Amino acid sequence: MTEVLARASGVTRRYGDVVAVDNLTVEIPAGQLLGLLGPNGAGKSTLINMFVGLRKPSSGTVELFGHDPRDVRARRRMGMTPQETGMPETLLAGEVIEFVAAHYPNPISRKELLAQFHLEDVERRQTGGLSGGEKRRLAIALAFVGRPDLVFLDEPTTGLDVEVRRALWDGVKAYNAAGGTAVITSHYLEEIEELAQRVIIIDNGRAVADDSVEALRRVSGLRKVTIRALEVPSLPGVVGVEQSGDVVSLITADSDQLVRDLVASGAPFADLEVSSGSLEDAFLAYTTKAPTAAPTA
Amino acid sequence: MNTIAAYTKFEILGAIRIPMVFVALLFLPTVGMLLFVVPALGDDPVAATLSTGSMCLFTVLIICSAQYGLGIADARMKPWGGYVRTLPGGPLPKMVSMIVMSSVFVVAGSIPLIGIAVIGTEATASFLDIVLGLGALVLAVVPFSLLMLAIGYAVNPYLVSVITSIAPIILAYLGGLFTDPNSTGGFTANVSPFIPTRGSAELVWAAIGDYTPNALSMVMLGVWTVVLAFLAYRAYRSDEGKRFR
Repeated sequence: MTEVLARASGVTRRYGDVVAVDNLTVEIPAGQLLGLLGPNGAGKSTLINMFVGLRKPSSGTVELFGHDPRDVRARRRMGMTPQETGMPETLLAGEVIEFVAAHYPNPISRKELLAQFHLEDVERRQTGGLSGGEKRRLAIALAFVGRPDLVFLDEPTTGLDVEVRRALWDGVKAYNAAGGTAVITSHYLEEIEELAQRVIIIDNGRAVADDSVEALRRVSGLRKVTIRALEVPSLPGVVGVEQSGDVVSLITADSDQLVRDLVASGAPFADLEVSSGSLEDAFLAYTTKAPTAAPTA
Repeated sequence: MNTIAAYTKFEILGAIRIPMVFVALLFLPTVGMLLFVVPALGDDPVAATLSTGSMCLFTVLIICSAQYGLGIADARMKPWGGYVRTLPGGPLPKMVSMIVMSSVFVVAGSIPLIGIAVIGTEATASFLDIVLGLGALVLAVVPFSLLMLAIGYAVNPYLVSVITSIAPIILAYLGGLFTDPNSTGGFTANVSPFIPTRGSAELVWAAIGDYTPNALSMVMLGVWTVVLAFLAYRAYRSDEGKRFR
């Protein structure tokens, strides 16, 4: 049996009258890349904040490496990204890394970390003067300073260009290949699809789905029927429409019936393709609000 | 040890890169020296010496307000403060480093006031007296840093800046720092011994001059320190950063 590094059992967190996390149970087994997906305000950040000891659950228990996350011992094998907006502005990037490294018994060497995150050029610069992308990379690097067994990456690549994002994904994959465990939240479904082995979809503080990426695509039962057509045919059984130029994707639970209806409707179309739904389709099926689409750069 | 050193370096680097902070910290005590101690008590060697100690203690109050009250409130507002709480450091390194910083600030902040006393008044103290006085001032950091920690952690961060800007003046006034230490007026006799400022002030006065601390003030200082330590600990434990309704 795989070791469980962190566990939330029946956890509820309220802010006044608002229930941010509602009776959630999550286990994080060693070696897994777990994606947390959900619309804004779904409770992802609150859940992570409870795992890292920043917030106490209103009820239920959270365990990190067998301890309460508010216990220092629990956090020695854990890493987290700070929000890049809040870095101590007058300190040099290298000084910030050194400060974080001083918390861990066996931190990664500064040179190695700087090289890994392409930060060599910014070591001697004040964090207040770094570009958004540099700050983001520094923030992510800080999660890995202490050679953690488990990292929490909250929106790791928001605002980064595609190239840097790819590089960071490769970094996360290498970390995972070496045995590391990661919990990633993202607005970008593409990111979760690329990285995560297991996905939990959170909506209104509840886990509405918890499965592998493949299973979620399948379980959602949705198919995507793509055609080239000048206008979107109006057909029964369509739960979602994506359109780019004359390429129209119809998302449906029953692609066979949809194709029959499409043909029977007599509408002109070409290049018919039927594919299993993407994670995005699953996401849409499970939640009411659509996530931000990944920008194509 | 490594972590404590890192926190201390972090605090010092953060402070020395914004030097205007020191000017702001020393402004009021300097004004107090120039407008109160020098003209009113400057000709009396005993009163001038003790009042210089009072102004140094006033500086300690301001330093504690800024460093602990405002500093903690600021850390709670900023995401970085939350991030540091996720690091496996616990409260100890932060506290030790802040105490080291306070001591540095207290000594550095007292030097200009002692300079004014030397130039502008008849105040006299031996080198040993001054060292003992600085020691008493550093000791005074304990109750006031605890008070400001409790405020910094428990009060809405937006309110903390208001509280920390008026608290030093009120505490200094109630403790009798703006009067002649040897005066035995009704207010100083009846109210001041119950204010933690008084006990700290009497220790400073005893260190630098001929002054015998009042037993009641000493007991109250001890009581305050214990109570404030408890409140600060409670506030730290229940803090979860910024709160919204």
